[in-house]
Amino acid sequence: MKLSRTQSNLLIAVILVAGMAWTAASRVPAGADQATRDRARRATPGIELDTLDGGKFKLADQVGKPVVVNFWATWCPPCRAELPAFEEVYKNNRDKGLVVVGVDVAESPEAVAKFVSDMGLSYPIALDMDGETTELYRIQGMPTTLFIGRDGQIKDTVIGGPLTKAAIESKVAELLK
Amino acid sequence: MIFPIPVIHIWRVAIQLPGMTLLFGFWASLWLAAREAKRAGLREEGVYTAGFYAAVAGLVGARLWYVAAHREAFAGDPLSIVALNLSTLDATGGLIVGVLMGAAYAWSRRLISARWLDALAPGVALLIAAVSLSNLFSGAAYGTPSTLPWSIMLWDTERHPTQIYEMMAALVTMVVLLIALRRQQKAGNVALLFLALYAGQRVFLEAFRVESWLLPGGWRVAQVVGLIVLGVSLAALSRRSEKGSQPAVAGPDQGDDE
Repeated sequence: MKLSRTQSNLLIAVILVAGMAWTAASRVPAGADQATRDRARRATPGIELDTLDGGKFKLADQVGKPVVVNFWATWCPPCRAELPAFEEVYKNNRDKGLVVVGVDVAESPEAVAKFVSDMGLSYPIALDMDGETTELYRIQGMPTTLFIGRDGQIKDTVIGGPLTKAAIESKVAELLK
Repeated sequence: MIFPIPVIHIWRVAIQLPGMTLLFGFWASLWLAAREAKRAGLREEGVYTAGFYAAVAGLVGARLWYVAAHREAFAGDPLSIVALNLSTLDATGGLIVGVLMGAAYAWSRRLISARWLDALAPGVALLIAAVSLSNLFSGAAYGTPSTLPWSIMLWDTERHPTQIYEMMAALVTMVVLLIALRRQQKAGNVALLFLALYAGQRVFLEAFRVESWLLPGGWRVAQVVGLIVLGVSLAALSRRSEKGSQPAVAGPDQGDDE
């Protein structure tokens, strides 16, 4: 059915007015703006694990600092390949407040300790021996690296590797802003 | 089903679903565009060649755009520029460079015409559907919390399945465009129809997203831009329906554009 010019213009006007009304109705409210959006954003599950040096790593204690969490294992070749890059980035940026933690998945502390010593890693290594934290984060491939901002929110997730030093540095630079 | 699903394991192989979905989506959209181009009497090889140049340029552009934005990081490790890290690709940069290269090739071969744009339109709609599905697997472009029966569990919260809304809308758009192409529309009308439908999609569905870009006052940028594009494309379609123009599908006396 062909519309007359008047009918066509009227139809277009109705569509645009409806669109404008919907756009106005779906504005983000100014008062609840940031809080509402923060609640709607993806949550960052807590991490609380024993570390190789006998201490404890709690993600909740790191709010206010940029954090890199790298899930890895000694049997995983790309995991091993990227560890020196994480070490270098950690050394370059720890003065700026960067926290790097390697979460070893489901391996014995003795095996991990020897490996970490041979690699010369100086950043904390947390032990997820029962795999619960890995399950909580639904880690589906290794290595997986999370880049967490000062607000405690996950800003970026990288599945797979090995990540180059430049790749890690570029993502850390975003966290340090 | 709990989302995202960034990886699936087939035997010992870990397949990154978002990337694989994009790859297949790109191939499928090229195939559809080529098929419609052939049906319109245009040379389908032009579509595949333009797509190839766009894909290669897009990949290189995505990497160079990311490197340019993080010059300091790559200055100390220049070989990383060519490393196989998919996480160091800038999607926006890649899209801009890819589209420009594809358009430049099409322009140089004098492929660009209203009929050619009409033939491309359903393929672009299919690509948008593939991008939406990829977003579902990666968890990007996620929706606001919801308690509706069709909500999905994404990032530990029941949410509007905005990626599924977008995919379904894009597929409906594709079907509408294919029907319009077969109804001997005036050349250029199907491309304008695509713009109107996609703009309408953006205006309606952006309201359900969490991470929209905002203007002062909480107005969503995509909705404002969508309204403008919707108005202009509808006005153009209305105006063109009052004038004469060559049909979209080539008649027996019209050759292809190359």
